[in-house]
Amino acid sequence: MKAELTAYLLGNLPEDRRETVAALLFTQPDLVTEMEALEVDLIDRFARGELGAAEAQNVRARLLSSEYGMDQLRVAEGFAAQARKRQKTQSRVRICAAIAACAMVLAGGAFTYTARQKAAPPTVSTAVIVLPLSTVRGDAHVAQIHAPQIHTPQIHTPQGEAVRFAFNGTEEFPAGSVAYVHTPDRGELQLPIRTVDRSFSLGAAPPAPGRYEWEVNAGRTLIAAGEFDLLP
Amino acid sequence: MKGAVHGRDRFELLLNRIGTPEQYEALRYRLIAYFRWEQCRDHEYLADETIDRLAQRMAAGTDIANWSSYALGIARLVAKEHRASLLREAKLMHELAQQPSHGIYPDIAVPADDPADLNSCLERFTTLQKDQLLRYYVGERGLMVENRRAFADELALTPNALSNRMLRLRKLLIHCMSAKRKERR
Repeated sequence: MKAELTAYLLGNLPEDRRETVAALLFTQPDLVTEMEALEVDLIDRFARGELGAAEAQNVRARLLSSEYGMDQLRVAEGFAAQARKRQKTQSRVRICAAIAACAMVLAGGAFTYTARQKAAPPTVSTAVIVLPLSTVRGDAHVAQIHAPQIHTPQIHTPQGEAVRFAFNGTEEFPAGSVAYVHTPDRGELQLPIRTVDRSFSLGAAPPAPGRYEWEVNAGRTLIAAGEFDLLP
Repeated sequence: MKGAVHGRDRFELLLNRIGTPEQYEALRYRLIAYFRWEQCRDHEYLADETIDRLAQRMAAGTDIANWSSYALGIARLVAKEHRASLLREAKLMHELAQQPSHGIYPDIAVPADDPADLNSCLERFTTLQKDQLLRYYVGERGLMVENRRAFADELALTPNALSNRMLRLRKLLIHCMSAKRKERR
């Protein structure tokens, strides 16, 4: 199926099969997202120079002929540049490590190297809320999340609901707008944004402590994202 | 035009037939993607044109058993008309320029990289999200698939869920870069 979809994107399918894929696009709800991921992947590989001449030409002609495609290419080029830079640094580190190891062996010393690299803890720049759950549950309280994102959400505690987010700013949230929230205990939730007060709620149950990541869509456009920690 | 259904009423009728506003949004989103992959320009305009024609048919009382397939049928027609108009445009340009044509879509230059925009937009993400984006999209060549699978395992997500999540973050990045470009114009 993946090969068929890729061929569709690159214009390599005969007309009848092309029609079949287009029909699936309108009947299978998740197919459009799957194809978008493939589209991005092809553009990334184009930017990294990983495609053959014919494939690259098709990507150029079919996926980069729109403003959207060009925007994707700009991002892909930026990522490819970072990858090249990273590879160069890694090569230098490997060479230095090899030289150092040789020197140690020549000196006759025993060389033990613990390769276990301690993962750096995720650093949170500013988007951290530290609220006791009791506060979140009942007390009248309003706290700002100082997120370095495009918009600053507020967290507050209306009656009967555990956590509700409301958004500042001037964006319209048309019907169908959703927030995706990755929760520590319930996986990823897709929550509707109420157009009345521009907010979404995690539900009536007290939320589990831990890290929450959120992304907000106005219609189908992602407009903001952030994270916060809820401590017990 | 007595009895005809117009404007807002037509739209309401369409919404009622389609179901929920979410389903309407999903249809419009699919149409935009369809026109993009069918080599059309003005994807959003063409999607709205398709929806408008669909609403017209519904208002005229056309019996539509499956509106989703019907919308695709209209979209095919709209795409065909659009390509014909592009072809006419290209021919006209060709005649005006008196130069050999390079086809409907001239070759595209790769845009100049603007690392400043990318970096400043990446700064709008949290450190964790930035790391995740870079890890997902800036993997080592040849190891991308395995790395992504391991990454999904670490986050206790399916590869598809991780892919969707990264795609959403990437769209936010594009939104930001596009806004920066517009600011400069």
